Amino acid sequence: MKKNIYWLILTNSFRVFRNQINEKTERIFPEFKNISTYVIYIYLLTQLFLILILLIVNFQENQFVNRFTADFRIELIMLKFFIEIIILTNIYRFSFPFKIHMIYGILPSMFYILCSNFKHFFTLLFIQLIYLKLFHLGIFISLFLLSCGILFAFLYAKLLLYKYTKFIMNGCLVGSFVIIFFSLSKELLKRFDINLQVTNEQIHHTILMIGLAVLVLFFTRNLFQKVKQTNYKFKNAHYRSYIKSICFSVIFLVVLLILSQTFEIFEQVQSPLVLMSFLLISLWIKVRFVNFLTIETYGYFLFYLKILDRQLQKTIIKDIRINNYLFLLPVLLIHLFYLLIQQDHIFFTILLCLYVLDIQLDELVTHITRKVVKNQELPNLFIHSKKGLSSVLLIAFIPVALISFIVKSKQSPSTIMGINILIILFLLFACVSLVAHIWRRSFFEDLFK
Amino acid sequence: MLYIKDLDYSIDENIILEHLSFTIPEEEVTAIVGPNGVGKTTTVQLLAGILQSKNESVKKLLLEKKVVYLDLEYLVFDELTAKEFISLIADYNNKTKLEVRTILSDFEPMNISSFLNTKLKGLSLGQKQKLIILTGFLSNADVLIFDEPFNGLDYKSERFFKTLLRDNKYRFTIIITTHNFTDIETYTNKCIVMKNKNTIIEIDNSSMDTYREMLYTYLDLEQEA
Repeated sequence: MKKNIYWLILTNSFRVFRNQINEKTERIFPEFKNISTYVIYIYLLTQLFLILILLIVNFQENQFVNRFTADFRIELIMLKFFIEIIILTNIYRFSFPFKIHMIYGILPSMFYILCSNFKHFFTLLFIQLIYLKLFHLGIFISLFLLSCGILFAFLYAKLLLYKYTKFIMNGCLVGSFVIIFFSLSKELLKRFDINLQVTNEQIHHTILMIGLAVLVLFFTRNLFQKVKQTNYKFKNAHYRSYIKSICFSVIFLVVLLILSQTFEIFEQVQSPLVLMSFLLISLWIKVRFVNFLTIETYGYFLFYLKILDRQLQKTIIKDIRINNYLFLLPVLLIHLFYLLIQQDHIFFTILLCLYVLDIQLDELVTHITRKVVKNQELPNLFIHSKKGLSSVLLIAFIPVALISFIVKSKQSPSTIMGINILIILFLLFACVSLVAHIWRRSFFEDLFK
Repeated sequence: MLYIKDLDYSIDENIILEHLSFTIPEEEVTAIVGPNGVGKTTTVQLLAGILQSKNESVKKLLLEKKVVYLDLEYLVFDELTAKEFISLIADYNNKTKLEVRTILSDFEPMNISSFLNTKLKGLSLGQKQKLIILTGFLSNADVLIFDEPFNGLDYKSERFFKTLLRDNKYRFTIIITTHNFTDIETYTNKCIVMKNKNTIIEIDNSSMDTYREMLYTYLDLEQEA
């Protein structure tokens, strides 16, 4: 019998893809319904045309491209792997029955995964072609073989549902991103003759900051384990997510610490940036841990409380307030530590005030716009938007201080005021647009009689 | 004989199976029966490696034998016709045209030819069930596992499949889970009755009457007249 298994898998994927394109065409352009069958061929011809163009064009004759590939060779190679891993991450989402290879074999199953993700597979091929035109054949072949190896390893791991696949992929993504970032920054700083200095003092401060973060995380965990019975259970998944916010704070502050030594502008605005960082991370924490931070978590149980237990009413409101203070406390301590080592006592006090104000404002907004929700409604956009309102408002006003530092006395007062208002308006516009965009998406889903 | 010893399985702290030991006769048909939720599907999925197990006897089984678990969800090629699908399976298992033709003619009572040109996405549950059974018989597996294979089959096809199991012409070791006890003594050589997560009873089909009687007794069922 003719070995046609791969051909049949390809045929199946082609038909699936053709149906998808037909449906899409008929939905978007109903007037082209009669010719929708041919759209797939137009699509494939376009792709083929792209490949042909790429094959014809010779990049290596262009001096700029030549110089660029010579100067940024490592960065370009890393970028290739970075993009490939992003594509593989997309393919990773594709689901199929476990142990499918038991019926169809390993290689055909891999081929099935690739064909079912035709667009991603095509992009992978396209990247190989671009690199074929950019680099010499020898380098290209080595890169191509490496990419094939990665692809094969990925498909094998995906097929066997190897549990660390996602973790390894994320690690590779972060690793390659960091390498690209550092090598690019190094190259660019060299070109602009900027010398980034890391002093002993900075290393000392960084170690202290990391130590503080670990200590704070340890205590927070213990605190949550002993918190009131009325609380939601602080699970490991919550904790892992919480660690991310702390890591982000530390990374941001360390970068700021280094940049403020090198660039005058960063030195001038570092304190407002610390405030900004604190408020942004607070916003993220509030949205992520909404279950712990709003009275609405208790849902219909609140009606029971209303009728029965006066003391418990007070306790629950108090618990929620304590939770709000506790959740933001580690982030606050890390940011306070930064301002402490900078000996910026005014901003130290401002940050403390912001911490209290943010929580108070939050509580005010919650109580003004009172609503009882079911537990399953907690991911509701309304709760999230409400929860983030105080932070968004505070973030919108912080840049005033920031701008005042930047433009100082070089401009006239009216210009300073104008710029400040412009920045506030811009930030408000960005925040409002973002929230409106999210709400718009769910408008029809939430409609009911 | 395939030996399974101390089979355990739990999800988080919830124990599903606890220290189950049993044997499966090779090249014969074994039925695993028991009430809903007792762990029949979990057991066969563990034997097929669908669920991960650290059990040594299961590891040994999977290492030594090619075990194929047949489930409708494996019919993933929606846009292929049944004929193309059969060709794909036959191709992977290196079956010659003659072998395919022989198996197809063996399966003719199931009326597979009536939907050969229909795409998989257009098949009914019963037709899909027939196709997945055929897939098993086209494979080069040592052990075939069917989870509730009679679901969706019409009366004639069910009767034919039971005949196919009884004859076991292709000498597969077949394990099925079922709630269908009609004529069970005619096509199974052994029954494993799962009473609960840690109690099973093995009944060998040495005498059809006592076999059926024991099975009904252990399942607390009343025999049909």
